[in-house]
Amino acid sequence: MSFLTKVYYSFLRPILASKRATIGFIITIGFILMAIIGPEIVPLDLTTRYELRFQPPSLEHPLGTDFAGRDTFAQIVHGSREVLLIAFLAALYAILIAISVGMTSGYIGGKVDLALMSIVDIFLTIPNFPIMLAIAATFRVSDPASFAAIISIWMWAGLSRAIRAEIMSLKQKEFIEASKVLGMSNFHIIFRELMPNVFPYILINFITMIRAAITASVGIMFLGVVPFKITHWGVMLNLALFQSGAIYFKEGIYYALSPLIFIVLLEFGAVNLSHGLEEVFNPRLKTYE
Amino acid sequence: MSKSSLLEVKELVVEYAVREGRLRVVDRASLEVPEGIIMGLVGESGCGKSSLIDAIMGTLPPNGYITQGQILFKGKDLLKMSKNELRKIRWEKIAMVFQAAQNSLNPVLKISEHFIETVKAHNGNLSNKDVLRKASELLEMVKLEPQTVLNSYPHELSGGMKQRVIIALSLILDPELLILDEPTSALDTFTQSAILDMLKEIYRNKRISMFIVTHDLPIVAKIAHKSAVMYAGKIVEIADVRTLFYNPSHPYTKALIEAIPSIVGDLSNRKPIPGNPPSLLNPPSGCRFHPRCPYVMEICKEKEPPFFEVDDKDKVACWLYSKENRG
Amino acid sequence: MRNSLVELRNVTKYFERGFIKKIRNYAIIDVNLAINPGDVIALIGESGCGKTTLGKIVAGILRPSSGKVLWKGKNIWEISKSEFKKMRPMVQIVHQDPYASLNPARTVYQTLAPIVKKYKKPKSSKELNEIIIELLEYVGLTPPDYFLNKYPHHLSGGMRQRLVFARSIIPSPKLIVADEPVSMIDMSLRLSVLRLMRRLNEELGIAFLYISHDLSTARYFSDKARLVLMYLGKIMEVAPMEEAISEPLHPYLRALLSTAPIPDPDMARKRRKIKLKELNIPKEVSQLKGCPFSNRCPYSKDICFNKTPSLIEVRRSHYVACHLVKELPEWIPPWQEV
Repeated sequence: MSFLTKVYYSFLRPILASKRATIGFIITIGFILMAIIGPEIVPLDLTTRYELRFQPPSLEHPLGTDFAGRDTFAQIVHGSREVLLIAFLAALYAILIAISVGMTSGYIGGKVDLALMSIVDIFLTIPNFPIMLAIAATFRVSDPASFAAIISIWMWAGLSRAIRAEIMSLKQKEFIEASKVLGMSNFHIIFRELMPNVFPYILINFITMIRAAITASVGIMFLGVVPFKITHWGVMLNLALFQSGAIYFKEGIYYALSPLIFIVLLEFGAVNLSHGLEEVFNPRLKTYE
Repeated sequence: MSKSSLLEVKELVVEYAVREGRLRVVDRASLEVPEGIIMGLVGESGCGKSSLIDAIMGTLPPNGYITQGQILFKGKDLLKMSKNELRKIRWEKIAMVFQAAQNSLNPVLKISEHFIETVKAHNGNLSNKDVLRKASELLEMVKLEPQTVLNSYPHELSGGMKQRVIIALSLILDPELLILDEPTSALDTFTQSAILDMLKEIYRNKRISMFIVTHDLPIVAKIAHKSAVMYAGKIVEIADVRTLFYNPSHPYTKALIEAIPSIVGDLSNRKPIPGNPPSLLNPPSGCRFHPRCPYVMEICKEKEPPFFEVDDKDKVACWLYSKENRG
Repeated sequence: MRNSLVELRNVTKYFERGFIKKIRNYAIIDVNLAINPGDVIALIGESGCGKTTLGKIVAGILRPSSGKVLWKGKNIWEISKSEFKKMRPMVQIVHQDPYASLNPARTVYQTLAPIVKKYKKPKSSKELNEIIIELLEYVGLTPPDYFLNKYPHHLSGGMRQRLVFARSIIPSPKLIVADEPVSMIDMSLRLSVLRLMRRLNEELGIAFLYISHDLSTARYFSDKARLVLMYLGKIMEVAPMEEAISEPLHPYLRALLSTAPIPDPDMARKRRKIKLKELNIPKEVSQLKGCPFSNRCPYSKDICFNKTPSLIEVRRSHYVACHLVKELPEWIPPWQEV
């Protein structure tokens, strides 16, 4: 089977089978496109023009203007890149750590499992948001990768436990015993037998993590802790609510709400995609044929 | 027609709503359970027999629907009755012993309480003392020591003992028909044999009609008088037990009997059935068995056969037995 | 035994529960068994008699509590890990539930390919494909192309089990432990899987340890099988299959033959039954003392409760563990007219 056909069958067809997943997928793809091509198409003009501030939506400014007379829509489009990039990287780092820890712990068991899970427990008990805030403020991170790293540190722990549990239950299954009796290596068992079974679970969690990362990053920026690009939606929110007095003006509402709406829309897309995928992957194993 | 039918299923259709569409697991099935006998229904997994009894007892899962047909109990259609009328019949006149029923006993109730609760749920006429007296009689009938068992919790009893308790429980309301779904699964050989003997004794003493549904042909061989055979959602043959085993008419029945090994007798004539069980999403046209049938004819691929009477003991849904072919 | 493939000597296995006060549950007690090349052994017993545990010990998956497990004369629990790795392919196992034995996320091709790559070392992917197709044809999954991309949930129980057998013969094993291989398959499909097993034994010379509670399928599988009858962890009788059925010695076997299901109405109803003293297995059974069948056996005497009977050769190749074997009445098959 060619690569494209494989992708179609493993990814697209399951997604299109569920309404929820399809809606989520479309929204998510829309945002990804916005992040990739958007900034090339929509010009960003950051010159201040006070006379144009807090304008309502019009053809020229689809979402109106901000407190300095600059086009809100352009800022959103440009900001989407950072938002998505940070969220994607954070989720990626977290997933990689969670898989390594979870699978090792679950498969090897014994003392290794005990040691790793103690570490996980520490991470689970410390309240993550305040700590993330503190670290971000202390280290004044300014590039997406490091910022993503900080967020990811507090996201991997829960998933690693869940992966470990999955692996432990799969380990007991007869087809794993069969693989051992057939003399297959541990490498084969972990990557060729166990992985394909946890993969749907990991994929769904990956999307959930992206959502959580968006919330976390927006939250941190919103609190004004990190000096980031002003087009990042979190920063926009911060500026909107705290620094520009937008909420005090009736006209400012468009500016204040825009980043919020886009954040909600993106999370809505991600949630539906992950729920839809869940629907799709579970009953698939019980299909009649 | 037989003397009097206790239960009659007419052209029943049961469908399940699944992702791929509608799955027809029972497709215009018809059979009669006459009064005063032990009747069997045999079929392999996926043939629809469990769904058939679920339809009778009203225990279909949420995505199961009865879309056609009638289920007549003593002439009255259960599917057209009101909820109240149904309650009086299901579990009172028709009782059921489910598969692996041992697991349906409530772990926090003593066995005596199970009996009392069951009676209370249906008619509050009997006093507790009377219920327990009756329960003791029934427990003795299934060779259990009444005092010990009534005071026990389910986990204190073995699998075989629990199964016998369930049978006794099903009889507490004096039903006229007892339906049993795989009554001996997961039990060891001795217990299986003992339970089948007990069922026969109960049938003789209490004159209860029984309907035993199973994939295990030896059960039917041992205690049933008559049996139906089900394949891919359809009833293909109804005959008395000796005819079924020694002189079956339907090619599927014949092939099935030949595919069962035994501890006795010559094994060289045993043959597996070629091919595979049919898909219920895309069943074969005409007679469902035609792709695997050694006697297949053109008409079998096109039209579903109706029932033909081979003699007064045997009805079969197969074109080989139409008047033209037999004459 | 010089020639044997697998030998069990005085193997006992118990499982312990409890933290302070440990309770021991004996699955197998002092079992001796020798499996030679090409043998077919039918290990028969009810659930809970220890047969699955015995199968796992033979397959080297479970370690006995005491006793020796010898593969080609070597104690597998005493040799080095690398030496065991070399011997590992010799004994394969087929489980009862064909669906659980297969990875639900792998197609037929993906299930077989890694094993073929490891053991047959194909030089190209074309050769790999050819080997897989040949395998599928050998086990009766034809046309092979149809099956390559199917997942286990697309296959019927019989097909899945054939796939499991296909997989198990790739390492060229000398012995396959088949634990209830057909009990979860429809009756109409059982014979074809049993026939496949027969071919593996007769054509490829693979020995079988066929574990089941069902005498009739064991009988069909192979007419040269040796019956090993187990009850509550001990071996009660060993004999060639046909002789065991026509001239059973142990009361447990006799009782089984008189109650085992027969698909024949006249025989099933006229059969004379041996009445057991008790129907229920009592909860407190002393596992170590005496004959495990004593409380149910219709002939049991005091000695049966106090002294464990040993397996004695009563006729050629026919062993029984029963104190009273010489005093038992003559055996008339219960389905025979008196």
